[in-house]
Amino acid sequence: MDNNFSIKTENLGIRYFLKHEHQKEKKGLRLFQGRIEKEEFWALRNVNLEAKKGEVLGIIGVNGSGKSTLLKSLAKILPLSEGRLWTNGKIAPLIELGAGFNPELTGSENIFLSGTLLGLSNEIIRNNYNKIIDFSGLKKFIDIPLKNYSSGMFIRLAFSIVANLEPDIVLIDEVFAVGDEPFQQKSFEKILQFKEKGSTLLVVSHDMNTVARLCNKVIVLDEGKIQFNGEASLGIDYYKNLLKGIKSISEEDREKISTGALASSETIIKDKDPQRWGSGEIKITKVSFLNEQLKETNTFKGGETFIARIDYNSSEEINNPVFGVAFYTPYGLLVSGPNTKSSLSVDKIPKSGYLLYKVKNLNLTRGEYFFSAAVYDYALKKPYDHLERKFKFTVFGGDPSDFGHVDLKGKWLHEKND
Amino acid sequence: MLNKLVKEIREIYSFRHLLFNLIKSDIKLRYKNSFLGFLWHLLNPLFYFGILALVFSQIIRIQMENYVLFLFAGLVSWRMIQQTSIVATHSIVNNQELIKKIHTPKLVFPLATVISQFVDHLTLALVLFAFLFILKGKISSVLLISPFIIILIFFFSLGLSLFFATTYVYVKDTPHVIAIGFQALFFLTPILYPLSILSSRIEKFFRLNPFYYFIEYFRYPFYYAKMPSGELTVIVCAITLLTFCLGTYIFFRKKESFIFNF
Repeated sequence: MDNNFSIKTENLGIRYFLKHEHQKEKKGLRLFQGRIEKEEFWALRNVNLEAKKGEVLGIIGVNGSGKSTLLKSLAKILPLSEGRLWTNGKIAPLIELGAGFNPELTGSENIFLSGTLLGLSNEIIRNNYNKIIDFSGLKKFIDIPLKNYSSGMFIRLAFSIVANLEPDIVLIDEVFAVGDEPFQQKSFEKILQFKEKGSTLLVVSHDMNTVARLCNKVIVLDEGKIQFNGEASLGIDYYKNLLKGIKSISEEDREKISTGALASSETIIKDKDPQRWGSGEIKITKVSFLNEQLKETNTFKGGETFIARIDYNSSEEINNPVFGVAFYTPYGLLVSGPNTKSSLSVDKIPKSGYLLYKVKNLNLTRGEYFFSAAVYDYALKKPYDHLERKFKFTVFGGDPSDFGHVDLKGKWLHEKND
Repeated sequence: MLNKLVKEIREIYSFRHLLFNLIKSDIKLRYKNSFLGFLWHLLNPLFYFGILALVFSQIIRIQMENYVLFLFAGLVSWRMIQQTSIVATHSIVNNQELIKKIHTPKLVFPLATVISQFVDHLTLALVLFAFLFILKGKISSVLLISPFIIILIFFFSLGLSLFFATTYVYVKDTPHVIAIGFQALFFLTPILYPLSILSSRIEKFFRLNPFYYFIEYFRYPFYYAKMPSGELTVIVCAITLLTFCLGTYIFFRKKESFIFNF
């Protein structure tokens, strides 16, 4: 076998025995309960996969399709019921962060405990100790027991340990969903660093944008079997088609999943909303995204025309209000936040009207973007209405190997030195 | 088979730092936040031993030479087996959250518990050694074999612990049964009294109890101050080997399916 692989499986299968306890028999002693029926259930079967060194493999599928079971079996937590598994290198499971923590011990002691739980020596941990503490930002708290940590500090420490011990293979199960936004950003960047350094990553996620951005290859699991194994963008399409075939998902949900937008442009804007504030003299009634043909849409191709339309009602005559919009990444990075203050004087506004913000070439890279719309007084002090990241749209196309959020349309040149 | 065993041993060896950290934190946490800290683990059994010594030597008046030392030696060795097994029974179930989330050789959990228990027992054995002087027991060169005896008790207890810890995963009544069992055995094993006070008819049955041999064996260096017979040595070694192998075998047979049975 060549040494180029990180993880390889051959006809891997995981079987559970489901124990059915009949409701009636639950009372009384277990001894007299009668037999418990056991039913065989294959959570995974005939799984053949291979991840080469430095590859990022996405594992996608609906709930209960066996994604987490697969990750747990690759991490050698679950024993194989059949088939074979080869691994090559140190595995770091980012499956449940902080699993090995003891709340009674201090942060420092827990670093050593959970590091050795991964099979590392105390010496390696000692060599990386400062790096771990610096990354976590918990230097001040490192000598107090973990039970006095906030849940955010707990997660930060857990992630910092695994992230700084230079694993060869990282198994990630939806860990982007933890911590506050800056930490999510930081951990996502760390994961990108793993990728750059040539670690092999296996990523389980429901977020197709994450999968599209990170993964070279994708496996689509359904009912414990591999339905698709190949190039990432094809796999994502396959998965979306798979979802369309599932009847239990409502039409609306399916729309959400396939467009990747939770808040579509038609979202009815509610008055009471934590993402909305303002005095209310001017009210934004609708925000919609339009393409070149002025058709409403939530998906744009990179480089296309993008138009945001903001409809408003005004109860009073207000002089010189300033309208503004903002574009954010899912991790809260403000990409752009233009307003009308210097570029368009609005003077006295009518009872109702709308503004358009037109971008001729939407030079955003592929992914999801959040959108805010707001109207303030001229001094930008008093909000009349502010809708913070209430809207979402998706940009597709472009080169998935590019990093960042903005395509500067730069050109590469290469010349020889004489 | 042998290949598999070598692989297991190598894996446990590669996790030796984990074993060390688990033992360290277990010992630390047991006595943390108490004023007397580590002293409690000595004061607690010594107080209990003292009460028993008072009751059986002054009130019930068992007549034998240096009864208190006889009793202490019996209690220390009994505690090594009983306390260790009772605590280690929980070592797998208590760590189930970890076992469900991270791959580690599962043997480290019972092993860490047993070792950290023996750290306590060894200090207690040192106290017993001090009592030898206080109670004017016979000090002889036979004391040099006591480490060997403690090692045998260690492996015997480990075997029992592995068996109990495995059973507990499948049968949740295990700790209750074990607690009652040890309570009964405490009186059915000649710890508080010498075997010689029993009628020969009952004595036969008492000799079927494997715990008896360990208690008796332990008394040779600390109480009788003479070399144990070869026959007794063979019996104790055989029981240890059998228990250890059986416990380990059952543990390794079942350890992969623990995760499906929590």
